[in-house]
Amino acid sequence: MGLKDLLSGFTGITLQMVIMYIVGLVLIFLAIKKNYEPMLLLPIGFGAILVNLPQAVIRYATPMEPDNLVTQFVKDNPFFRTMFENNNYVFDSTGQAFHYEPGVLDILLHSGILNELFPILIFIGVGAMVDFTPLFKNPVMIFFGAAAQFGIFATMLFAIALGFDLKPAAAIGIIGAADGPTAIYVASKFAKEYFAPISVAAYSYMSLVPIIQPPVIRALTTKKERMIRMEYKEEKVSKTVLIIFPIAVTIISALVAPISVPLVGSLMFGNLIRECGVLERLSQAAQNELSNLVTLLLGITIGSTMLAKDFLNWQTIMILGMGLIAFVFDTAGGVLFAKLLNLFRREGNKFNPMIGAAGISAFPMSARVIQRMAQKEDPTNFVLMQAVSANVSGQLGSIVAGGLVLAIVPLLVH
Amino acid sequence: MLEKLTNGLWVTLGGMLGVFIVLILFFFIIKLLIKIFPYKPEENKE
Repeated sequence: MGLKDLLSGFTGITLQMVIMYIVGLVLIFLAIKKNYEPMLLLPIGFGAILVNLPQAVIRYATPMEPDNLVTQFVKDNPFFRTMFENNNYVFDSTGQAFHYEPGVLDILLHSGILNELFPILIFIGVGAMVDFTPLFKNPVMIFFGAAAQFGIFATMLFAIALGFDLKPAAAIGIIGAADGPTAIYVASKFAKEYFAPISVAAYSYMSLVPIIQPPVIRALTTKKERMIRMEYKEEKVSKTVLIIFPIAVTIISALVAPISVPLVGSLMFGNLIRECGVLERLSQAAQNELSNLVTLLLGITIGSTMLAKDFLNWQTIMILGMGLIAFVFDTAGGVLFAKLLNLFRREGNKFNPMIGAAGISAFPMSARVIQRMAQKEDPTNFVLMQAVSANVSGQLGSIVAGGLVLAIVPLLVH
Repeated sequence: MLEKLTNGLWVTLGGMLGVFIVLILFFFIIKLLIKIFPYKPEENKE
């Protein structure tokens, strides 16, 4: 071993790597100092640093070896490229194949994210945490969960206008679902090459809901509208309803968009565990141990996809920008839909249009933002329960929208 | 580009329509379930 090998750690550092260390440190700073989604941004930030260390041994256990035989084979038979990519090969922009032994982060990437296992496990945990009772008390709020998905499709069209193909554009649009696992799930199916920026954008903007939503809501509503009071009836819900609902939702979703069943089914399975009343230990395990463990691995694995050579490009900047647009259009879609419904409702029974903005999936941040804004206009106005109902609907709406995108896009792309 | 945008518009139309239809179905399921299985105070005792 020569001196060059001993110093390879120092000589292997490039400017791009240094930029990625700064990106990782910024994410860690936002997590610790600003408390923005720390459970994900901190592991993502640290993963970004880990994977960009010289030789990236934690992602690739051995240096890349060029393989000319595979290069030629894949050039002649491009359909086999995915098969090789799933078996420890990577391809550069010229199509040259390289073989490597996977490191721990690569193993996690292939066994947890690219095969959709982690998002599904997270959904079981999320399902066990979601209480649909507020929605049963205000079922009409479910429509805001649909309207606030507008950002997904507006952003998808925007991405197409910027030159992205339909599949990656749809995956970018799903940032607007304001639902990390759904974004990861769709990106792993439609846009593996943009996986890192889509995941980072999805989680970052979710944590920025308190900053993004208020100015959009203020721009679209008058003070008088923001002061609208809404009646709230405290009604109890039968346990039977809470048990049948997740089963019914799963069956309907399977009939409408079969491809959405892994998403909806796992969410509803978690919810059934919660509501059945006889699986308290499993419910607690899904809400705590399962969610925490998978979140831990998910974050650091997403970070490991942030290789400098793949991450530092214009597409990443565009995707991060479009993530913001997605949240703005989600908010606008919900608010404008509420204003539209108000045209047909009698005085005294109108919706506070801010409730529409809570139709996104970011729970419970969005509901809290709406309550805070309502109280700022009128300290005696309480719209929290209505906002929570819309927010829970948003969780359903985002997952349904994700499933529909997965079902419709392949029909149009051959 | 035009073809991609057209496809994007179809996805938008199908997606938004689909989300509304599915959630409207959920709305009626909730209404139906609440009607069939109204809350009974004895459930609390259980």
